[in-house]
Amino acid sequence: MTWDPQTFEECFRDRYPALVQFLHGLTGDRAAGEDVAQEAFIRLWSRGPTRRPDADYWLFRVARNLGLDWIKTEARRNKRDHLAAETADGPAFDPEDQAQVRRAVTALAPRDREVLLLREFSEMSYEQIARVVGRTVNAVKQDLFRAREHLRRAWQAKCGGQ
Amino acid sequence: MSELPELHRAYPRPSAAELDVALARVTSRAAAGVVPWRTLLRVAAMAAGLAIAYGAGFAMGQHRTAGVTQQGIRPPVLIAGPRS
Repeated sequence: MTWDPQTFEECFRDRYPALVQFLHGLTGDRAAGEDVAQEAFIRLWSRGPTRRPDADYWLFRVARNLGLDWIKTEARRNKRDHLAAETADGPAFDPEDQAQVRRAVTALAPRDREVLLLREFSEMSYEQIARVVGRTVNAVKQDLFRAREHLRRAWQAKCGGQ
Repeated sequence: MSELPELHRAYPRPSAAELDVALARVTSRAAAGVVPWRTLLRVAAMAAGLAIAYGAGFAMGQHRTAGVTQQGIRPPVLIAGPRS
């Protein structure tokens, strides 16, 4: 079974943005997020499931593993750049606030960070996220709760400190 | 609706232009390279396996032949004389 090009394009247009957002958060690097997301789609085309929603789940699982590999490689190179230049098309947002949020996300434990980013960007259920990260649903909920609390505290500390 | 809208602002979605560029890159790479390359690798692995098997068989044959020639084939030697 191979992908019908039109269906593949629909899947790409639907899932690529969320995948880039997730990987940007996971790796801390926008360009790496885009590269890894594209690699995940190339793998989906050649060896992934050809139906949705299986493909969606498969994509995030592969992208997560590729992202973690990228982090390991970069950690070895010790050249990590948390604040890559990027082109935002969203509403205006103070760059310092943006950096603050990213620093708070980067400070999260890796397992909490990936669950938070998957929940925020992938629109997947707890069950699907649990399958992607290989944990139980309860563990995912606990990780998510911890991550949100950590972010809220970081945000409140920042707002209170001003 | 997200509970953390600032997270979405900190990690913005790719623009429409970026999406088009990425789609073109992915479809060209997917269509051009991946499947033939994998097939080529598989064929190369099979050819290498066959070559190794042939080489091993050839070497073993050579070794056996060398052993036989070293021993030599001697004609039977008559040790005892005819009974008187």
